[in-house]
Amino acid sequence: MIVELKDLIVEYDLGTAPFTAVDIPAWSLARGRQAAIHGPSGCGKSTLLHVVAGLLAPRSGRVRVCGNELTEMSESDLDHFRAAHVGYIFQDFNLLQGYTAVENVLLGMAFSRQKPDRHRARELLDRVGLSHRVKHRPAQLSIGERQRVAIARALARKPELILADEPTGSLDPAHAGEVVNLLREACRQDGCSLIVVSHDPGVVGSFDEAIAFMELNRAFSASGTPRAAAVAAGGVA
Amino acid sequence: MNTKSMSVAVLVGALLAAGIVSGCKTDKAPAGKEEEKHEAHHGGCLNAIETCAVGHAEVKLEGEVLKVWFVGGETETDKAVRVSDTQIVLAVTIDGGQGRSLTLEPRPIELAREKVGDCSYFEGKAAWLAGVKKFSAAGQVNLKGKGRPVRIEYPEGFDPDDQPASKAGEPAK
Amino acid sequence: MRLWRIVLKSLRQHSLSTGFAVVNIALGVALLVAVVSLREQAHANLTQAGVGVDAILGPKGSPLQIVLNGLYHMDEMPGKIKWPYYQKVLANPIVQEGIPFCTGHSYAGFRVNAIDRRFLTDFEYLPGKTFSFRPEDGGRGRAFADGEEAVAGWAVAKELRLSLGQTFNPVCGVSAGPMHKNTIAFVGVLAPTGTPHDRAIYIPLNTFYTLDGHESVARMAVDEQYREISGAYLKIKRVRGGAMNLNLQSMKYDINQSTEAQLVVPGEVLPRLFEIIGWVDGAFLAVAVLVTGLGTTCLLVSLVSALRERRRDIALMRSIGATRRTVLGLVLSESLVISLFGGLLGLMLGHGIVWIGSRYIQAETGLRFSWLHLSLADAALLPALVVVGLLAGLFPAVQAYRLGVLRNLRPVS
Repeated sequence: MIVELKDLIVEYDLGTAPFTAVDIPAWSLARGRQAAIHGPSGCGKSTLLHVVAGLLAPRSGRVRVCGNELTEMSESDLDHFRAAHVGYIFQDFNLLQGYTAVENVLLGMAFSRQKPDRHRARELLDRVGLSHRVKHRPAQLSIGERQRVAIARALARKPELILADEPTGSLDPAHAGEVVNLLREACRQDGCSLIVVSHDPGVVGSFDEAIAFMELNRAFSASGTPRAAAVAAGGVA
Repeated sequence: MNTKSMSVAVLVGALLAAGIVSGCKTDKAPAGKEEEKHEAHHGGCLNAIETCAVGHAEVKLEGEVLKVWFVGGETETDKAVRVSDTQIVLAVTIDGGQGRSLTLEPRPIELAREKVGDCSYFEGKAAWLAGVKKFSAAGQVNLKGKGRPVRIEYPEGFDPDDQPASKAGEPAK
Repeated sequence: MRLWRIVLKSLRQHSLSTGFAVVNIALGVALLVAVVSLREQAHANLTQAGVGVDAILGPKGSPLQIVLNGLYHMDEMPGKIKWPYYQKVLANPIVQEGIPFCTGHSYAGFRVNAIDRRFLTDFEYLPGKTFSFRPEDGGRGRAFADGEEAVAGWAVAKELRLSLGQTFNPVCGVSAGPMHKNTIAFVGVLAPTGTPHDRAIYIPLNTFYTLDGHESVARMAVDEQYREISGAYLKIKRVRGGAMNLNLQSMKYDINQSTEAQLVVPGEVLPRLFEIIGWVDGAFLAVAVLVTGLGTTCLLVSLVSALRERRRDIALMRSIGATRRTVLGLVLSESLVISLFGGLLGLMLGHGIVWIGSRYIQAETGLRFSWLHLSLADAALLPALVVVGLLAGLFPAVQAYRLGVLRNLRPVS
């Protein structure tokens, strides 16, 4: 398994009392598989991705990703874990504004143990159809192009797992389908697993393994006020 | 930048500057500014005559010759003070033994146009002085218009201010 | 992408604040380097000017004044010494040689010193170094013979564009005064020595006594009983091993008891000169240190403000695998790069200041300064800049280290 979750509980401190945002008894994803998790905004999908990426520590439970027990790892080990195993794609692309497209992709390799490979970076941009935009800065690219750069950057380190958080959130439906297909195809080619979270049924529909987050997350169905948790968490989509 | 960060930044900068300045100051301790002190200009020992303000006898023993320069008081030990004596007799005691007499003869400094009877430098010669490391001596000299007792403690010198307070006739503890 | 490229890229992104910090540090370092270099060289030059002369016999007055007049051709002698007394000093067994001189005349702003001819042939302006007239050394002509002849120091000849055979009329006094009618011809130019002796004109002692208008002292030339001199350089016999004769102190004591003269040992007086001028370079040094301190503060402020702009970038780097330590290292490296770059710039600027300053100082004093002189500031620069860079970078680096990833990944709107 590439991801294994067991008795996962994520809480936010709202000041008065802890708020349970995620409560998943068990879930797993086989190596090489692609899954889409869908649900309304604020239900805790992004929180789940943050936990799987090692960016957020759960209150309790077991999180095993790429053979690593994340809950037993130090902050520094988690940094190394992300560098070695995970590619992350954000809804708002999070490209570095001062860097060109190829430099943003190279940055994806900078913190791993691999040698930065400009040739591979260009090849990745070529794969996402941006061979003509290599030296353009994010501000000179369209929204769809920026997301393609983000995909290329996530693939740069040849990760075992790609986590995409609302990757089409800023795109129109036509471009959304195109980007998701590109992402899925790229992952297939590189043999890496993929978890996409999205509230867009159009995106989710193309996945064989599509899970409604409410089915996984007991906290959502129980609390009835997930939005409050999302606001408190700051960044939960 | 918020106010807190700015204050910390300025504080660190000020401390840095202050540190460097104080570091430099330490390095730049001016030479020769030490407290003025009595200095024996011939490499001998200084013996105050009555008090340090009146004058000193700088004493140096070289083989069989005892050299005595009469010099100024306080810090003016580089200025010769001429005495009118044509000879000075010292009672010299070595290691608490019996006193011996030593006569100092005037040796006028020619470059200062001194002459016998108006001379600041005296020498006394005696075979028994050879090899002596420590001695005491007493005598009298006509200095600054009157006869004054001279007390010499060689090689450490004599300074009445360093003597323990004791009544006359009482041995110093 | 290598980490050093990320550092350079970040610096380029904030080029204005980076440039400002670099310039500030460079200015401070330049001042420090220049002040320390000039100070060290001035010290060496002034001390060196004295080491060729064991002692100066001079009239009663300030010993410092005698050194300034005798060695640096500045100020005036406080009086005269009778020739017979000088002879008496010469008779002292520890005196090897004496070179008598008379000061108090000038020409075109340069001192005209009447001096014994042996000054030009035997006098050691530095240990083992005598004056040269050889063209290969930069000199011309020959030493003066008795009569109305003169020899110019190298700087005098250069500044007045003197040619051999050219004549001049010495002026009584060191600034303005009656001009003597005598026409004295330059017969030689001394090769450069890098000492204040380059900035004086030398004439024979006897010529001085017989100058037009010196009728009252003319008999000094023939009658030693009346002859007076301003002073004399004394060379003391060395004891075995080349060490200074300890009896010099004794002779100094003896002479100083007289009312006619005093003996000054330049090596003892020069430290006092540095005490007097010490506060000036102390003030310069303090300004330089303050400017460097301000530069460091500026560096700190620019790093902290850059960090505020870059929170999201740093959080993003963390999310794609940059460790906390990497981020700490990146910020510290930026600080180091700025301080080292500023330092190198300051180093060049500082030596440039010395280069410009040395030309001016040499023109004014005859003392030679080299812009290539490596001072204590140069030696301490690299480690000091590393410390400054680390200290200035520490606060923003720790801030970056502690940056929350998720909180700072939110879009900046």
